Amino acid sequence: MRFILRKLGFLVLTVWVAITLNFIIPRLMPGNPAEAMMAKYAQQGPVPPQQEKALELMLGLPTGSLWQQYWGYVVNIIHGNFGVSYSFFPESVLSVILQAMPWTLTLVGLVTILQFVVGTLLGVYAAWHRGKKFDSIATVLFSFTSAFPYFWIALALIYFLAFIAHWFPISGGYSGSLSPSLNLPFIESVVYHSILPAITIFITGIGGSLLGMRNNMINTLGEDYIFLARAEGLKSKTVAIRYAARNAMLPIVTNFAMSLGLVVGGSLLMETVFAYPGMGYLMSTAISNQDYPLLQTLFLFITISVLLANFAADMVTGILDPRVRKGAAR
Amino acid sequence: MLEVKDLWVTYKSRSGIGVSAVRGVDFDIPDNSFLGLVGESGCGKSTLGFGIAGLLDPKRNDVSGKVILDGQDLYTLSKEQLRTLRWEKLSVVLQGGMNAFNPVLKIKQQFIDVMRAHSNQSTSSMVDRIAELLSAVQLDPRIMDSYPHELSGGMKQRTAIALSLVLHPRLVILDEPTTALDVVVQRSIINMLSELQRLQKFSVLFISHDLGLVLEVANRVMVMYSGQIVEDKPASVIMDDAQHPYTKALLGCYVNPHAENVSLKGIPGTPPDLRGGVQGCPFAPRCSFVMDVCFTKTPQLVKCENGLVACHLYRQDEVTVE
Repeated sequence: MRFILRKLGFLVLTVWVAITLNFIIPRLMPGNPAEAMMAKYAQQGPVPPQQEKALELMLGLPTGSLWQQYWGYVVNIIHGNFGVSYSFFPESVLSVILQAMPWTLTLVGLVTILQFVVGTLLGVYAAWHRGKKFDSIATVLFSFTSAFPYFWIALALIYFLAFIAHWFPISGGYSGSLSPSLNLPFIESVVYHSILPAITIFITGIGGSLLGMRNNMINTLGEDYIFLARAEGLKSKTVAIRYAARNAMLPIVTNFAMSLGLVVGGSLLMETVFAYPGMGYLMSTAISNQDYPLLQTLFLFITISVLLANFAADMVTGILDPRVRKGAAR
Repeated sequence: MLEVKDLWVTYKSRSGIGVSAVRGVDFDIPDNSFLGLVGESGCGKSTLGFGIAGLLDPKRNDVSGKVILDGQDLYTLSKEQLRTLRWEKLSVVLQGGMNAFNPVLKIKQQFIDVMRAHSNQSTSSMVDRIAELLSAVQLDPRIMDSYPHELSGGMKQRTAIALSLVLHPRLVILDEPTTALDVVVQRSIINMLSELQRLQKFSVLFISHDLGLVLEVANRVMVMYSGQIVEDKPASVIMDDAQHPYTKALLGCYVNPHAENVSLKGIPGTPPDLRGGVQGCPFAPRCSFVMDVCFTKTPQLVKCENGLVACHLYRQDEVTVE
């Protein structure tokens, strides 16, 4: 219980630091968006001061002292008010993000989990049968695939399977002729569109999971308790899973949670290449349109989800590893 | 009960020349005996112990010879036969016991895993058995609900000994069981072990580099050098009747703390490189009684008055025949 409270306290503290940094960093940059726009308009002719004032009000530029701004910012965040998006004006930042989020969470989230589970199981198998045929092939093959650049795989898949073979759509999250709703043709279209992005994430991710687990597992297999477990005449399945994999898993859980946290940020490159309507694509739109409110909120979401994922990892490690739970003896 | 016949163990090496850590060892372990195996680091004593237990990895070792336990040759058994035989007839206690337990499972669970792998019992009867064993090694049975990291080194080693006895084995092989512990804990564990051995009448193969310790607990001592047994005698006589120069030298490294004048001697030199073969007696370069024949002919283990010894000094007949 003390373990959970301590970790929870740490979570609250880091979230607060993240929010505050998110407030401070943009204010360290010189100028403001209204000035930037004004400079643009000024090239076409003089801008009356009322117009400048109107623009500042429309964009909601901060007024008052820094402390008042900070207080207003925190209150707004608590109310879920992140301002208005410039590039999707007049939609609010929150509604834009909430539209993109499900796409990323389902596709990137599910594939990341799948990739991790499959990769880890194969890693356990490869380490247990170390030096056998599967291990030799898998180690080389997956070292190779994990070195592939993300976008390169995506482009290659699009070129060969979509552009030349016409087996899959080239881009988008669903067919343009359908409107988003929960009916069968739409879901089919979504699944169909997600196959190539899914393959991209899967191929580039699985190598890391497999090799990481394999290496950890091989280290664990050298431990005395594995030797003893064999000497005890335990069944090899028990030794492999309960004694070896269970311990080799521990460091992997943290890595996995980190990558789950980053899912919220979407796969920027994958979503850009496939024009997939998720968080990564949203971010690239925000960057190219200098949509600061949106960008700032996206960063905040990503940061907080990484922190939450870390918190979850701590909890899971606490369940899996009694040494962490007690938090003392080392 | 257990017979070892001409056992050779070679560690495979990439360069092709393997290291023969056990070179043609013959001996037997009768029922209800406490046998000590002594030698310096790298002499092959642990390898021999694991070889007897059938625990060497065939990927890394070439093993030849026979290990016959109750009439069955361990090296001809199928994997499943060997699995069921392990721990039921032959169990192992590792050095220090520090890492001998799975860090994420409770002690109780690790005992239960072993019992489940070999028999079908109710959980409550297994828990009773665990409590009985833990009391036998002078531990509070409640520690069965602890995790390994919550126990001290001495407690872990006692637990490891309790675990080794869980299935009433015929033979327990202890590989340097007290090396990582201080002398006080070492003493109490050794006393407890010999007490248990007397009561439960299993056999013990006690592997150690500490001749003094072995002399106190074992009823028979085997001295190993460079992969071979060089002397094999009852513990009661070896102190006064050591014949092999290596055993004598080892005894020179051991002093009686009650003696008024203490003189310690080391053994000059280092053991030979075991890559490839060794010509002649492996101890010859360090031996103070060395003769010409020692460099050409490997002495065999032969009967002497009180036991067995492998040294040309005691085979005058053979030397003259040469």
